[in-house]
Amino acid sequence: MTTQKVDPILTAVLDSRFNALVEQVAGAMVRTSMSPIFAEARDISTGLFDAKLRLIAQKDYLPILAANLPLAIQVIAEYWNGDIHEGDIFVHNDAYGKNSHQPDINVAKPIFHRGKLVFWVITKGHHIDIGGKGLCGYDPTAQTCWDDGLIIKPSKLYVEGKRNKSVWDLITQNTKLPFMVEADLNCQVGACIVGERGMLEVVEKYDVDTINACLDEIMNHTEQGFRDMIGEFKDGVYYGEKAFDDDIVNRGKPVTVRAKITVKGSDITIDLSESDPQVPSYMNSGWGNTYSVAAMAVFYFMAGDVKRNDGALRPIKLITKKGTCVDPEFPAAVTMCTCTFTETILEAVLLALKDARPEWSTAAHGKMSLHIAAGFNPRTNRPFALIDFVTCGNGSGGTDGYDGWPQAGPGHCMGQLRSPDPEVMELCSPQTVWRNELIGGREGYGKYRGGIATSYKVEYTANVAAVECGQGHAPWAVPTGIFGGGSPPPSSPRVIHKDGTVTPIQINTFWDVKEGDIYEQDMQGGAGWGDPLERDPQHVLKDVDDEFLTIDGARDIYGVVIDPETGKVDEVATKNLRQEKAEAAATKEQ
Amino acid sequence: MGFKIGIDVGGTFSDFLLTDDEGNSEIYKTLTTPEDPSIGVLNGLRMMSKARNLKFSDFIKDVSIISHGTTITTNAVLTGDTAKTGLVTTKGHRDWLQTRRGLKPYCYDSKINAPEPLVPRRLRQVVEERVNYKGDVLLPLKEEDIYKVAAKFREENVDAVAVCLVFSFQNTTHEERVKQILEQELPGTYVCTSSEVLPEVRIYERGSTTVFNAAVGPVLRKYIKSALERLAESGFKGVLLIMQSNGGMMTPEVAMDFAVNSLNSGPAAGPKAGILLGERHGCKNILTVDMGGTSFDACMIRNGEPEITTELDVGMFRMAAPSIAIHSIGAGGGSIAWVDHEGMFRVGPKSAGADPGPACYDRECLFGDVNEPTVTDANVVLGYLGDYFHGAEMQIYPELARNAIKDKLCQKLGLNTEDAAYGIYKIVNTNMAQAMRVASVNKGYDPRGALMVSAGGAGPMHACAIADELEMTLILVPKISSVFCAAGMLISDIKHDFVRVAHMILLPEYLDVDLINKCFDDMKAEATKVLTQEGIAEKDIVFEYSADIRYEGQFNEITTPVTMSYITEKFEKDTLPLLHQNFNKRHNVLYGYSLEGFTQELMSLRLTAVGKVEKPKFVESPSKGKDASGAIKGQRDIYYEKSWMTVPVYDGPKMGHDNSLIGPAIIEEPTTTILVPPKWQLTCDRYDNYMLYPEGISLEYALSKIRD
Repeated sequence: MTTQKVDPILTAVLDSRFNALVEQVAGAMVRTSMSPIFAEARDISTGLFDAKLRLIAQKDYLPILAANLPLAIQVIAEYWNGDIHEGDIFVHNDAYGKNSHQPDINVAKPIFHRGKLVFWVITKGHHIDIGGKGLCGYDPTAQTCWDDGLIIKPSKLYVEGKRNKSVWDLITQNTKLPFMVEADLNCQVGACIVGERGMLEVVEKYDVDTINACLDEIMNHTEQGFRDMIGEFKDGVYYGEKAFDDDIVNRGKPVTVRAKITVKGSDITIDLSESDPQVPSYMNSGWGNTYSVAAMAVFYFMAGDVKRNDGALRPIKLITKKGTCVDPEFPAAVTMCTCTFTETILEAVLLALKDARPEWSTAAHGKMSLHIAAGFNPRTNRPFALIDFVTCGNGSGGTDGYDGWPQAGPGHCMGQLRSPDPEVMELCSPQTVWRNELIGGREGYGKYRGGIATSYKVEYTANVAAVECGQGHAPWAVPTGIFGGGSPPPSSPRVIHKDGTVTPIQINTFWDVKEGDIYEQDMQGGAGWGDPLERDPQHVLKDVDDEFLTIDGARDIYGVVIDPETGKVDEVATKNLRQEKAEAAATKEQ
Repeated sequence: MGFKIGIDVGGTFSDFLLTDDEGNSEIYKTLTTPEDPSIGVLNGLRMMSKARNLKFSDFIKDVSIISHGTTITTNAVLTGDTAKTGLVTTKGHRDWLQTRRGLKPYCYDSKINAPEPLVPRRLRQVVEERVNYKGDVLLPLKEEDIYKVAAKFREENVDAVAVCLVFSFQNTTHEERVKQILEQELPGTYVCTSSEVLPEVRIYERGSTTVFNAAVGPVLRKYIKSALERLAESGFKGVLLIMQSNGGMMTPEVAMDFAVNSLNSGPAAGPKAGILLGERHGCKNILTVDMGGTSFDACMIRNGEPEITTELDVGMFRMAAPSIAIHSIGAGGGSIAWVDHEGMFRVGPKSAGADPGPACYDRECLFGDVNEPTVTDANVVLGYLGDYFHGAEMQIYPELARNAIKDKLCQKLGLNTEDAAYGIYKIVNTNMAQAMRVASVNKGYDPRGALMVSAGGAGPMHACAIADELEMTLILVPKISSVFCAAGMLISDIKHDFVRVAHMILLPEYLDVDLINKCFDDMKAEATKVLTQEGIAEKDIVFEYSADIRYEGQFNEITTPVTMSYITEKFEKDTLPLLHQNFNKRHNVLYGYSLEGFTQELMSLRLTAVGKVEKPKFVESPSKGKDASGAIKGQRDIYYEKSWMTVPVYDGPKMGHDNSLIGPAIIEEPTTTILVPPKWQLTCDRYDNYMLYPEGISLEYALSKIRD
C-alpha cells in the first residue's frame, strides 16, 4: 500500500469532503442546542479522527478549542482501550485528562465499518452548568478542580447503542440545570451521528486503506506547508511576557506568563517554564489548554486561513514546568484557562514572536471582563443561566496595514463568537438591554489602531446571582500596543442601583443583582500597531466622521489637523504638527 | 389574444422569450442598457413587433403579461450605486449594522478590513424610545428626536431611510410614527420600517434587511416608473411582473415598497425553469445546477417547491427575507487550477474571469509570461471543447491551454498534461458535487431520487461525471439555455410571504388555537388585499401554511408545514400530533436525533400566498426519429478516465425530438457543449431538450426511479 503512489486528485477530493463534513457536524450542534452558549455564541468545536487518532479536520468555532480535540480523543481511546465497541458513545471533561476546563464536555463516537473501528467523530462544547457552586461553572472562590465542578473521566453515554441511563443521570443530576445539560448532550450525540452518517458514506465509496493513504498525504502536505511558513520567521530565541490582574487570593499582585520561543529552521519551540507558580484559585491553565493556546498563537502568525489538522501541529513543541500556572499539579482549579489564561499566554507569545515576523505580528485583543448571571426567570417561569457574551465585545488588535475589528471579541474568540441578539436575550433572560453600541476612545491608538470597543448597559427585572470573571481591570493587564502603538484603558464594570448609587464590581467576585439594578461596562478595544503619528490622515478623518474620535483627539493623538468648517484635513498644518510632535518625542527620549 | 413575454435582463444581454396563445415561442436578444434598462426592454419589444410585421402599438396592446427579472438592485449593491441611506434606530443600539454580531470570516487571518456598512455611522441616528419583549412601551417615543434626525438627513441629502427599532415586531406604533414624521418632514424620501419589511425577532437580521430595502428602494422605484411610463406610452395594457428572490413574481406597486425582495433574484429564475422542465416528465424532485464562467449554483427542489432560506448574506451583510436557497460556489469555466502552499492540487475559487480569461483565449497576460490554467483549458486539452465555442465566434488556441497546464501544474504534481487536465476536470467536478451535496444531502434529501437539470454554458460538459459521483441517473440539458431563466419567469406565479410572531408551548393545555387562526386570518386578509390589488381573482389565490417550531428552549427553529382542516380551512386542535410528528422527523433527518415527547415551542407562523397567473403553452416538436447520425458533423479525440478515444461530434441545432445516441459522443450547441461519456446515452424529449441517462436502462426506467 505504502509503495503505491497516492492519487493527488482523490486526495484533494477527500480533503474537501472532510472539511465540509466537520462543518455540517458543527452546524447540527449550533442549530439544535438549547443553550445560548452553543446556539448563539457557538462556543463549540468538532473534529474527525482516523483510527490512529490523527486529526483529519476540525471546525473550531472557538479557536481556543483548536488543538484540544486531539488530546481529548487520545485520553478517551487509551482509557477504554480494548473495550470500544460499535454503538458506544463516550463523554469526557477531565481537565487533568488533557481537557480544557470542566464545562467543556467532549462527546465522541467511534465509527465502525464492517465491524472494524475506522474513524472517530468528536464534538466539544461549553455547557451551561457543570455543578459546583459557580455560575455556569465559574466560581472565583474555587481552590480545587472539585470546586470547579463535576469531573467526568471518560465514560460511556451509550453502550453498544443502548443509552446508559445511569451515566446520564449521574451527570445531569449533578448540575444545576439538568434539563439543559441533558438537551445539549443530546445535541452533541446527534451531531456525532450526523458525522458518522457522512463518514460511512465516504467509506462505502472508497475503501479505508485508500482513504488512509490519502490522509497521510493530506497531513504531510499540511505539515510541509506549515514548515515552509515557519521557515519565513527569522531564526532566533525570542522572549515575551504578559501578566493578568492577580490570583484573587493576593489582590493586586500580578501573575505573569513568560514565553521563551526558539525558532530554528521549520521548528518552533515554545517554552513557558519560567511562568509564575500555580495559584490557589481557578486562575491556572492545565497542560491541555496551554498546548492548545500555544498552537493557536502560532496559527495567528500564518498567512490566511491555515488548515488545522495533525500535520499543522507537528512542528510546534511546547515546554512547561510542572507546578507553574500553565501546568499546575492536580488538583488545582483551572476554570479560567480558556479565557484569561488563553488571552495572557497568547499575548506573551505574540509579543515574543513579533520580532521574528514583524509584518505578520498583531497587537492583542482587548481583555475580557465577563459578566455571568443565573437564577429564576419570571418571564419563562423557569431557571436560567447566562454567560453574557455581549461582554466579549472587545476589539481586536491592529496589524501592519489593517485596523482591528470592532466587537471581534477577546483573544480566545477571534471574531468567531457570535454576539448575542438583544431581543433574543430579553426573551430568555430577565433583562432589558439599554445600550449595546460602539464607543470610541477605548481602543489602542496607532498607525493601525485597535478595534473599537463596545459599551453595554443592561437592567435586570428580577433578583439574580452574578459573577464577574476575567481580567483587564489592572493597568498591567491591558493589551500592549506594539511598534509604537497604544494600549486601551483598563475596564471597570459597575452596578447602578435603583437609587442611583454606583458600586464598582471587582474582578473575579460574586455579587447579588437586585431587581432594577443596572450592570454597565465599557469594554476594552484592541491594542494599536505602529506610531499614531504615521496613521493615514484620511483614516483619522474617517474616525472623526464616524464620531469615534473628536477633532481635538485627532490633533492631540494623531497630529492630524481637521478644519471644523470644511470637515477636511489641513494637510500643511498636519505636516507641521506631526513634525513638531516627532521632534518633541525625540527630545524627550534624549 | 395575448402574448406572454419573459425577459431576463442580464449584465450584457437581455434575453426575451415570447409565447402566443397557440404555444409557439420565439427567442430574442438585445444589448442591456445599464443606464436605464427599460430602454433595452423596449428595444426588444420593438424587435418582436418588427419580426411579426406589426405596428408596435398593435403588437403591444396584445401583450397580456410581461414577466421580468432584474439585476438592477443586485448590481446597485455590488457596485455601491445604492441610494444615500439613513437609518433610525433605538437610542443605545446605534451600531448593530456595523458590528454584524461580531463575526469575522477567517479567524486567523488578520489581514482583512472589517466591511463598511451601507449606512455610515453619521447617518445611523437614534431616537429615545423603548418597547419591551412583550410589546409594552417602556419609554415613550421622544418625538423631538425624530425632528432632529429629519433635519440631519435633510442637511445630508439622504434619499432613503430605514427605520428599525428594538422589538418593533411586537409593537409597531413607534416605527409607524417615526415613518409618518419623516415622510412629512422629508417629502419624496423613500422611508420603510422593519415591521413592514420583515417583522421577525433579531434586530441585526431584521434591520440589515430593512437597510437593504431602503438602499435599493429608490433605485428600483426609478426604474419601474420609467418602464411603466414607456410601456403606457406605447399602449401596453397588460400586467408587468417583477421576479423576487423567493421565486415568485410581484407587481410594480408591491416591488416599489419591498424592493429588497428583488435583491439576488437573478439566480431564482433558474430553479423555476427547472420545475417547468421537470414537470413535463412528471418529476417533482429536481436538483438544478448552473455552471457559468465564475460560479456554480445548485438548488434543491422538493415536490415542485424550491428550498427556501432566510440566511443569505449579500457582501457580508445579512439579507433575511425568504429567498430560494441557492448554494453557490466559485467553480466555473474560468476557475483557476493551482498548487497551494501545502502542495495540494486545487481548482478555484479564484477565477480568471472574462479578462484575461482561460489561457486558450490568448488574451494579454499582465502577470508572468503564461496565463493561469483554468477549467476551460482542461476541457480544451481533453478534447471536450472544440473550436465551435460560442458558435465559433470565439477563437480558441489549444496549444496555449496545453502550455499553461504543463508549465504551472505538471512538474509540481508529477503528472503528464492529460492527467493534469483530467485532474482539473475531476477536482472541479468534486467541488460541484460537494455543493450539490450541501444543497441536498445536508438538508436531508437524497439526490439519487432527483432529476438533475443542468444549465449554463459550461455545465453540460461536467453533468454526467457529477451525476456519477452522486449516483444520479437522469440529467436534463435544456436545448436553449439562454432563455432558460426567461422561461422560468413566465411560469412563475405571484407570491408573497407573510410572518407573524406567535409564541406558545405546543401542548394541548397551552395551545391557543384562536391565536393561531387569528394570525393566519390576519395574514390571509393582508395577502388577499395585496393580491386582489395585483389583479388576482380570489379563486386563484392559494395559501400555504407553516410554523417555525423548535424544542422548548432551543434557539433555532425548523419551518414545518401546518395542515389545515379541509372543511373549515382553519387550524384544528386534533392535528397537533401530526405537527409534532412532522417536526420530529425533520429534526432527526437534519441533526441526527429527535426528542420524541419533548415539549415543542411555536415561535412564528408563516403564510405563503400564491396568486396563480395564466401560464404560457409550449408546443411539442415533431419526431425526428431515433437515428441521429444525420447530425454528425465530424469526430475528435477525447481523453476520459485515463484513455484517449475517438468520438463523433453532433451538430446540436440539427438534433430534435426522439433523436438518440450512445456515448461516448459530443454535441455542440451554439452556447453549450454536451459531453456524453462512455456508459451514458442520450435522447431528445418532445421539446428537443436533451435527456442523459446510463447505458443499459431505458429512459422510462430512469424516469420511474425518480418519480415518487
